[in-house]
Amino acid sequence: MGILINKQTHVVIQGLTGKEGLKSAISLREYHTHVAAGVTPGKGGTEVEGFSIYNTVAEARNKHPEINTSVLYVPAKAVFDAAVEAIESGIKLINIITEQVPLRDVSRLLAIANYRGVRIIGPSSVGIITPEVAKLGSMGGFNPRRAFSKGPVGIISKSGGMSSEIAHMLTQEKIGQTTVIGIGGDRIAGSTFADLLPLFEKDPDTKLVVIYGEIGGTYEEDAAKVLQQKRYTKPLVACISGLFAETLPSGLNLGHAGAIIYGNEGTRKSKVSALKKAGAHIVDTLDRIPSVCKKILS
Amino acid sequence: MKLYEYEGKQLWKEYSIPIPESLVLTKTELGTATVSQDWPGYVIKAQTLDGNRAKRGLIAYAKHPQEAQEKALSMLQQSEGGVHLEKILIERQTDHTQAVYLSITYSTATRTPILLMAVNGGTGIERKLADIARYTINPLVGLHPANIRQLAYHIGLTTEQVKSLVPLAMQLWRCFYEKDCTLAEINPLVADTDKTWCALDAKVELDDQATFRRKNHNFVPRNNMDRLPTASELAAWQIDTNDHRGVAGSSYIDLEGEIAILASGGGASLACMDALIAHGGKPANYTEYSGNPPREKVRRLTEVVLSKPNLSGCWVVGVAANFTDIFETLSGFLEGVRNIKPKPAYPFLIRRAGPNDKKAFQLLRDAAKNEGYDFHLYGAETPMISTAKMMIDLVTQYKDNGNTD
Repeated sequence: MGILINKQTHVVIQGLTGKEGLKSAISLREYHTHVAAGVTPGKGGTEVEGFSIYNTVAEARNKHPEINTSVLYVPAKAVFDAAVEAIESGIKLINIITEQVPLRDVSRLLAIANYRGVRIIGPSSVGIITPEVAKLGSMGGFNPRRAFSKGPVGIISKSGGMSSEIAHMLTQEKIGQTTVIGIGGDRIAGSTFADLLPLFEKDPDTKLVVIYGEIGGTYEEDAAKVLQQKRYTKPLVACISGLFAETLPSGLNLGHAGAIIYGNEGTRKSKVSALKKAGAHIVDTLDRIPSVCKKILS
Repeated sequence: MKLYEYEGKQLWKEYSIPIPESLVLTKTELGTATVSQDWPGYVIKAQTLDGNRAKRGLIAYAKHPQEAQEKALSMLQQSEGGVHLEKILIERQTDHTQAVYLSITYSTATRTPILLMAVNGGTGIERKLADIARYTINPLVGLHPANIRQLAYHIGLTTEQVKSLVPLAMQLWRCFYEKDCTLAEINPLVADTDKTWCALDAKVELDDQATFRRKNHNFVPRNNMDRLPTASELAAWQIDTNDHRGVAGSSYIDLEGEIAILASGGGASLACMDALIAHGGKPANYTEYSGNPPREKVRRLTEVVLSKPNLSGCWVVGVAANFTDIFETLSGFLEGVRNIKPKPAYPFLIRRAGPNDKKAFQLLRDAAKNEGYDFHLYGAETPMISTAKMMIDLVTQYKDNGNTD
C-alpha cells in the first residue's frame, strides 16, 4: 500500500521542459509512473521525449482528466504562481521540488492549499517513492532500485540525500520500505513529520517509521506530540543531526534554510528529549538505523 | 541575512517608524566626527550581529559628546582581537515611561507570520515567552488595525498609546511583507508622556531566498559570525552569483581545523560534519555543493577549499546522488586539485556515487597513478558516515609519517 501515491497516481510536471524536469519525467516513466503531461507556458502544443506539453494546467487536465498530482520543477520565483494554478485546476497533491522559494510565498501558498484541501509536499522536496509502485520528483534518480525496495518501513526525511542513504542502508540489510518522503529542510514545510505520521498509522503495510530530522524549527517536537496524542502508535526511529551546527554561533543557518537555532528553541537536545519522552527510539548515528529497525521488526 | 541595528533602523526610517537622532561612525570617522552638543544624553552602541550587547559591555551611556566619543573609542579598542566591530552608533538618549516589545516573524508551528507584543520590553524578553501576546496573521488576509488593537489592549496599554501604536505596527507589517523579512523586531519600542513612540532598537533578518525582490537594497555579504568574512569565504560565496545551475559554496565557512571539506547535499553534509566531530576530526571549513552544479563551479570551490595552508587531508563526501552527474562534478574537482600549488601530498578520501560514477572513478584512478595523488575512492557500498573515521585515520597516518606542516 504505502501512502500518498499509488498506481492511480497520474502526474503533470510543471516545468517539464527544463533540464531537471525532463530528467525527472523520464525517470518516472521508466519506473512505470504515469506522466500524463507537462506544462510550460509558451511551449504548449509541442512534444518533448514523448511527453505532451501544454501552456496551462487547466488545458492539460482537460485533455487528460485523470491527472490528480502535480510535480513542480519551475524556478523559485514562479513556484507560488504555478502551485496556485495547480490548486485552481483541482489537483489535490502537489510535490514541490524547487529549492529556495521565499518564505512569504510558501506561507501564502500553504494558506491557500489548506483552504482548498490540497496537500503540498515541499518545497525543496527530493520527491516521494513507494517502491515497485510509483515515484515522484527526483527520488532515486534513474536507478531507484539500487536504494529502494519494497517492505515494512516508512521514511520521512528533511534531507533528500539522507532519505535515499537511509533506504539504501535498510535495503542492504533486506529491509524494504512502504513509502519514502523527502519533506524538504525549509523553515516552513508543506507537510511535516506530524502531518504524515497519521497517514502511516493508517497504512496496514507500514510497521515502523524512520524520521530524519535536523536542528531548527519545531517539526521534531511536533512529531513527539503526535506520538503523545496517540495519533501515531507504531514504533518510531528518529535520527536528528546537528552536533556540528551547535558548535557554531546561534542564528547561523547551514545546509538547509530551516536549520537555524534561536536560543533554546530548535536545538538537537530539545528535539531528542521530546522524542525520547514520547517513546521514540533515538539513534545517535545514522549507521545504527538498520540494526535498530531489525530489532523492532523481529 | 541578519542586519546590523543601523541598517534595520534605515528600514524603519524608510517606513516612517520613528527612531532617535543618531550618527553611525566607523573607526576612522570617530576622531573627526562632530557629535551633536545638545542631546540630553548619549547612548553608544556597538554594531554587532550577536545579541546580548549590554552584557558584553557593548552598550554604554554618556552625558557629554566628548565622553560619548571616548567611550566609543574604548569600545573599539576593547573589541580588537575579539568581536568584529566596524561601526558604532551614537544616539540621542530618549526618556520614556513605557517600553514595549513588538515583533513580526514566521512561526514554524502555524506556518504563518505572527505578531508578538509584550510590555516591559528590553533585554531578556526572550526568556519571558509566557508574557508575550501573539496574533497569528493569515497571510492571505494580512494584518489589520483591529488585530493590533486586540493585542495592545490585552497587554495593558492605554487607549492613547494604542491609538498611536496601531499605525506604527501597520508600517512594521508593511516593511516585513514588502522587504521579505523573516524577523522584524523592535525591542524596546518606547513612549514618553507625550505618547509618541520611538524605536530604540532594530533586529531584522531578511529572507535570503527573496533577494531577487529587493532590488534597491545592497547589504554587503556577511557571515553572521561577528568577524570579517575571510578571503576564502568571500571567494566561495561569489561562485553561485549569476549562475543558478546547482549550488556550490554559498554556505562556505572557514574553521580552524586541518581537514578540508567538500561535501554534497544540505542534510548529508551536516550528518558528515557531525560524524567527523564525533570522532575527533578537525574540519578546516564547512561547505557543500548540490543540485548538479556545472564542473566549473566545483573547480572553483575546490580551489577555494584547498587554498588554505596547513591541510592534512581532504574529504570529498556525499550520498549516492540522484541526478548530480558525478563525472562532471568530480572532473571539476580534479581540475581544481591540479591548480593547487604546491601539489597536495596529503590524502584525499572520496566517497561518492550516482550517475556516471564508474567513469568518474576511472578518471580519478588514472590521475592518482599518473600524477601521484593520494586518492582513496569509495562508492555506495561503503556507508557515507563510516568514511569519517577512515578520513581521520588517513590524516593520523599522514602526520605520523612526519608531514606536520
